[in-house]
Amino acid sequence: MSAPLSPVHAVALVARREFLTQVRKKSFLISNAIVLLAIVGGIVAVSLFAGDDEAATVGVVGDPALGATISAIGDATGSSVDVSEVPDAGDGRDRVRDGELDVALIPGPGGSVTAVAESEIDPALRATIDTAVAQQAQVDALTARGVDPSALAADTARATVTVEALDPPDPEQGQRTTLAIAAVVLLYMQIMMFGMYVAMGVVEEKSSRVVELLLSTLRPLQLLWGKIIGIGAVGLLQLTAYGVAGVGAGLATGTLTVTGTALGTLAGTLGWFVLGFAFFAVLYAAAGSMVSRQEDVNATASPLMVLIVAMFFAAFSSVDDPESTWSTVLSWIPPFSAILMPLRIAAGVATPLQIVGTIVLMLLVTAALSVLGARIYRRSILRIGRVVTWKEAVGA
Amino acid sequence: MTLTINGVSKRYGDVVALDDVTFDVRPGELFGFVGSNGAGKTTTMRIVLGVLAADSGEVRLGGRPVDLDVRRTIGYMPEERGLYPKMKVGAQLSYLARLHGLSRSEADAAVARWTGRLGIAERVDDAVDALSLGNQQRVQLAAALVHDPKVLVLDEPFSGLDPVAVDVMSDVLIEKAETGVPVIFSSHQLDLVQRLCHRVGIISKGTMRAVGTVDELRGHGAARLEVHAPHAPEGWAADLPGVTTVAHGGGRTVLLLGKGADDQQILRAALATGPVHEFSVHRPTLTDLFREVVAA
Repeated sequence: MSAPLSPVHAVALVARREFLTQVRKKSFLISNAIVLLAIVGGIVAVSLFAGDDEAATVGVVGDPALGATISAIGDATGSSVDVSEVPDAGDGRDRVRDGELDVALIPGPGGSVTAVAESEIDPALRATIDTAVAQQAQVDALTARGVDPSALAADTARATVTVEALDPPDPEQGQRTTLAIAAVVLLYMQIMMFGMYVAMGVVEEKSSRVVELLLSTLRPLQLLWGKIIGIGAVGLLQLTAYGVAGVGAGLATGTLTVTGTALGTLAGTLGWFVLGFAFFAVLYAAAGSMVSRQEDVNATASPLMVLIVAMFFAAFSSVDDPESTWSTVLSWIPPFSAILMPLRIAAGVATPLQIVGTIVLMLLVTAALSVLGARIYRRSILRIGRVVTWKEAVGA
Repeated sequence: MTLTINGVSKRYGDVVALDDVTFDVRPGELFGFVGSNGAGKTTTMRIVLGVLAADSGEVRLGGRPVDLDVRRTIGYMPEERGLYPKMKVGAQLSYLARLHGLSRSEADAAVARWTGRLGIAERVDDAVDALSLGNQQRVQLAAALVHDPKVLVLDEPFSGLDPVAVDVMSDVLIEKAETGVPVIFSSHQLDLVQRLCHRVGIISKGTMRAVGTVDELRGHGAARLEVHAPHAPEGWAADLPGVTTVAHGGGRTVLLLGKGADDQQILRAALATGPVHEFSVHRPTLTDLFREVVAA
């Protein structure tokens, strides 16, 4: 027995169908499994390669004092050296050849040292060894002249240089840039892909004519919003999965160390996806309603594509310098804010005022567009036949 | 409850699609809606379902204006058949039932009942586009019936059906009408309409030209008289009042009986020419009436 259906319930029923239809597709499940594996695998691979800068291995033939000096200088300059003792020169050469040691040091007469390496010595390691050899020779010479090296060291201990940076470098800069680029690329793909799904879904209903049956029991706006919410939920779920996998793998492998920024960027990206998707989904639905066959969608969706690509380029151009004037100005303008703001949040240059202000602005513009989009949708959805142009659809 | 269409008009620019269309479909009645292509049948039905808005006039069900809540109690089969091609039959029917306000369990029970009744129970887990055209039509009918509608509005339900499916469809419509539901359907198969329907409405160029029971309509039309009198000369009936000769040949004459025609007088005139082997009155069929109305 049929009964009245509240508007919320009606929208929820439509959204539920859209969501389930999308996530039950085999292609959806398979492609997402592949992408998730690629994200986690890629980050693990990066962390393995990055882990290559482990301590250099140096073997010293019979001079414990030189070994200790190398270790001390290595620690002081931040490039730790793993020093081991080697019984004789031949053994040292063999170990270098086997790749077990980076360098074997063979002391010669008068403090001279021969460094045996596979082909060349890493410049930083070379500097450490040079300094250690010179210092060791100095200590030996001073001791020979009756000076106590430890007393000398105590007297000169305070003669150090302290750096006062006027513009200190941000050690997190690299990670922030990586996060920003990841956010931009993901947003670009998700908005474009799921916007297109909305358009295709609308055309499917129109071309299969099921829309007439649906409109005998639903208002056009209920159908429109149900579809947008259902497909948007799938997009949000997918983006969350990608984001959590990426940030999780990054933090777990130590590739990402800026936990707060990473989580902030993830939250910002998800939030701005919702806003950016809502903005474009209404327009994509309108674009879909204007054609009667799947192959005509591009005719009406291409202006939207151009806008999204423009956003993407704007975002990429401002990754290097998110604080430039044009980037700041553009980040206030919907829909550019949808892709520039997560980037600015990742770069750490977005003020709370700007975040709130751009969200409000985006919401207002999206609301206005949804009225327009719904009008086009309502007007075009039952017009079967030739493609309706944007000019006709928007006009009286 | 009676479905009332009252003074409904609709224009597309300069083209008048419907002009003051008025008729009603009573409880338990099968109402046949006939007219040429483009006469306004589909437009009328779309307005009843709220898919199109009328310029003027109104549609009421049981005296209540048809709003969205009332529309959800109508079972509709659009002329342009349409279902989600990739969605499974069962899931699709259940979804449509729920859009009409059924709970999940009610919807599932209704789907089981109607797919069983229409012989597609074993196809519920198949995608619609995997079904034959005939079975897709049955799913379409199930979609109109699955929410236990209080009114049925079916646009060309018999088109494209094989003879077996026509019988199934007829039985279902009769059965629904017997439960007190007003049923309106359009069709070009006039013999079927004449056989099934209690009342008929004929529409032409956006205007209702005739509404009534089949017998009433046939009674209004001019009766035809066929006379087999082998020796009757050409024009033997020309002087009889109210009689027009339609055809004459091979000893057979077909006469159209207008006002003032007296069949006994005609019989006497025929007998005056010699033997009369056959003398039969033919009421016009719905097809004859339809041709007459459309030609007018």
